[in-house]
Amino acid sequence: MGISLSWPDKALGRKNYKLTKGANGLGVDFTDPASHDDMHVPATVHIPVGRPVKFIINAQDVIHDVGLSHFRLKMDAVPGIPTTLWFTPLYTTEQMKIRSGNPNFVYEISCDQMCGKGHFSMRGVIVVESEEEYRRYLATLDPEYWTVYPDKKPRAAPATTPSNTDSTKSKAPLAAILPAANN
Amino acid sequence: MSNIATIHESDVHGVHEEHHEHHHHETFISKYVFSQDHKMIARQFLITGIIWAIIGGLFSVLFRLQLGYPNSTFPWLEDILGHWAKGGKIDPEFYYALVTMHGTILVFFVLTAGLSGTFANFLIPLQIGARDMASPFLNMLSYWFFFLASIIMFASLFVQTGPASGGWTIYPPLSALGDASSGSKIGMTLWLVSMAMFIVSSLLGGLNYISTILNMRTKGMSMTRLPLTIWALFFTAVLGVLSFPVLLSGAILLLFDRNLGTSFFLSDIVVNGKILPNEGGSAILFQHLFWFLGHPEVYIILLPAMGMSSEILSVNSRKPIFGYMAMVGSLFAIAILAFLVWAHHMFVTGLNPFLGAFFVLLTLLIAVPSAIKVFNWLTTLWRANIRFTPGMLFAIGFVSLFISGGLTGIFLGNSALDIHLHDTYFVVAHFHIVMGVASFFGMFAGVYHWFPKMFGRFLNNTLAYIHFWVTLIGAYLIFWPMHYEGLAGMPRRYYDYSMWESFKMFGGLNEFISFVAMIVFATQLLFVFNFFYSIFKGRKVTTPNPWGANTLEWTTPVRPGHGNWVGEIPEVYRGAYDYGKDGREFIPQTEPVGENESHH
Repeated sequence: MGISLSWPDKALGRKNYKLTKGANGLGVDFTDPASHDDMHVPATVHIPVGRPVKFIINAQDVIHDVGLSHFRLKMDAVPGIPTTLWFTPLYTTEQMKIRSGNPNFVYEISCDQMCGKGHFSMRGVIVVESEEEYRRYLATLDPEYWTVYPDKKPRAAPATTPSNTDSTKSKAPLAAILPAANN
Repeated sequence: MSNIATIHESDVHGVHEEHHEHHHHETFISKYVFSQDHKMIARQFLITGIIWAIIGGLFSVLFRLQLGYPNSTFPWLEDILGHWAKGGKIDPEFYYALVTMHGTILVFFVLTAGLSGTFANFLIPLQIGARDMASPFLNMLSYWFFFLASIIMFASLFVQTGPASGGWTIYPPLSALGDASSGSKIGMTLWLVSMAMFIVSSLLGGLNYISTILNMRTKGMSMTRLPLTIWALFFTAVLGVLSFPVLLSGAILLLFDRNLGTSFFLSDIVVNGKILPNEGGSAILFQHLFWFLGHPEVYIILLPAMGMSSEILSVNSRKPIFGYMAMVGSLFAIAILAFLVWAHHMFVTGLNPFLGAFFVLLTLLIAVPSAIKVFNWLTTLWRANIRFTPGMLFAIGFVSLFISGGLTGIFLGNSALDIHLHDTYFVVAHFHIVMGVASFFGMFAGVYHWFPKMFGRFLNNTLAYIHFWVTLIGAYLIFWPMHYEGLAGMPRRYYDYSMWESFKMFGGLNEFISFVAMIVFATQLLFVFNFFYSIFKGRKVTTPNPWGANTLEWTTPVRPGHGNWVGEIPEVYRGAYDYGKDGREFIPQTEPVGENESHH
C-alpha cells in the first residue's frame, strides 16, 4: 500500500501506471510540476481532526477496498478507475482511546474486497491528530520528488515548508491511496 | 367417495403397471443411468446435489475450524490435506479456495441444480398431468451436462495450484491474472469451463420446464388452476433462461482475457512488478455482467422453495392457500424486479450515487411482493388445524427464515447504510439466512413431503424431527451473531482476525459459531443417513395419497411407472387448494365441481 499526500499546492501529480518502476513505486509522472511537492508515506495516514479530507483511491493489481469501519465508510480501489471518498474526522486517535475505553484503540484501514491470499492482513492505519501535531508531522516529510531525483533537492531549506500558509486552512488535505501487492 | 374411487383405480393400475413394464425390457443403463424418465432424472439431480451438499458443507466446517480456532493446530489436517495444511494449520491460499468452492458449490450445484433440477423435473409433469417433459432427450442431456460440470469442478479440487480462490463472484482482475493468485491459474480455467457446462445444463432444463408447463397441461388444467409449486418453478425457469446467458458471456470474455490477451476487464495493471499492456477495459463491467445473473440467481434459488412451501403449508393446514392470485402476482413481481436490482451489489465500486438511488428504490420495492407472500403464508396458517409433519415444520421454518433474513435486506438495500455494511459479516448473515438456509429449508420440506412419491417409502420421523429442530436453532445460533460482527465492520473473507485491533474481540464469538456449525453439519449427515436408509428400509407407502392432497401427482400409482398414469391422464375440474370446503377435508383436482358446491 502506498499513499501520496498533497501539500501545500492542493493538487496531486499525474500518474501513469506504465511508469511504475524501481523507486517510483506509485507510478507518478514527475514531468507534472504538481507532483513535485507530493509526499509519499507507507500504510499509515496522518490526518488533522475536524477538517474534511478527501481520498483519491486507485489500485495497481486487483480490486481492493479502503474500508474505514470506525468512520462507517468504505470505497473500492479499482485498477484503471480512480474512486473518491471524503469525510471529516471528529475525534483524534487519542480522544478515541478514552471514549472507547481501549488504550490500544487505533483507526484501522481494512481491505474489504477479496484480493488474494494476503487479503486478511492488508491493513493500514489512520492517525487522527490535532492540527498542530499534523503540521509537525508534515514537517518531517520530504517530497517524493527529491527521493526519486536527489539532485533536485534544494540545498537550503525549501521555500514551501508545510507549516506556512493560512490559505490552506479552509481546504481539504488531499491524500491518494494506492493499495496494491496483496501477496 | 371420490377418494375411495381413486385408491381403487390405482390398485387396478398397479396390476397394469407390472404388465406395462414387462413389455419394455429396460436395461440397467437405460433405466438408471441414461434415463429419459423425468422422475429418474429428478432423483439423479437430487442425489448428485446431496453429494455436492456434503462436500460444500464439509468445506465450511474446515474454514470455520480456522476461523474459530485461529491459534490452534490440528495435525490430522496435514495428514489429509498435505501441503495445504502444513503443521496442521490451513494455508491462507487454501482457506480462500475453500470459501470460494463452498459458495460455488452451494449456490450453483446444490441450490440451483439440486433444487430446481430435482423438483422441476419431478413435479412439473406429475402436477400438470403430463406423461413426461416436452423433450425427455434434452432433459437427459441437461442432467449429463450438469454431471460433466460436476466432474470438471470436482477435478479442479485436485490440481496442484488449487481450485479457484477469488470468491464465488470471481471478480477480475484477481480471477483474470494467474500472477495475482495461484487459484487464478488452472483452477480458475476449470471453474469457468465447468460453469459454461453448468449454464448449458441450466438452459436445457429451463427451456424444457417452460415449454412443458405452457404446452402439456392436461385437460382442464388452466394456468390459474396450477399449483403454486408449478408457478414458482415456471418463473424460476424464465429467470434462468434470461439471465444465465449473461453470465456465460461474462465467463467467455473472462476466458478471452485470461488466455487470448484481450482487455475486456483489464486496464492499467501492475502485478508483481510486471506492467501489463492491457488498456481500456473495465473491471466493473464484469461485475455488471456477473450480477445481472447473480441477482436473479438469488430468486432462482428462492422461488422453488417459496412454491413448495406454499403448497406444503396449504396441504398441512388443511386450508386453501390464502390469496392464490396474489401469490402468483407476487411471484411475477419478484421475477420482474429480480432483473432490475443487480447494482445494489455494487454500491461501493464507485457507482454514481444518483444511479444508486434508483437501485435503492427498486430494491426496496421487492419488500412489497415479499410482504404479500409472508402475509399470505401466515394467514394460511392462521387458525388452521395444522399437521406438524416434518415437511410442514420445514415449510414453517422457511417462512421464519425468510422473514428474519428478508428484514436485514432492507438495511443492505439502502445505499447509505451499505457503505458501512458492504462486504461485512452482516451481508454473510443476511444472504445465508434468506437465501441459503431458507432455500435449504424449502428443499428439505420438498424432500420430506414428496419422498413417498419419489421412493414409495416414508422417511423416519424421529430423525426428521431431530434434524429440523437442531438445524433451525443451529442456523439462528450461527448466523444471528454475525449481524453484530457485521455492524462492527468485521470484513468477510478474512482468514484470521487476531491481528486486528478492531475485530479481535470477536474471537470468542467466532469460536462459538464454529462449534455450532459443526453440530449442525453433523445433523445434516443424520438426514443423509435417513435419506439413503429410507430409500431401502423406510416404512412403505400403502395409499396413493398419504397426505390427503389435491394435486395430480397423488392420483398416480404409489410408484408411478414410465408415463406416470397407466390409463388416461386424469382431467382437472378445479384449482389445487380446495381444502376444508363444504365440510370436506379435501377435494382433489380431478373431482368435477358439484351442482350445489359453494364458491369460495
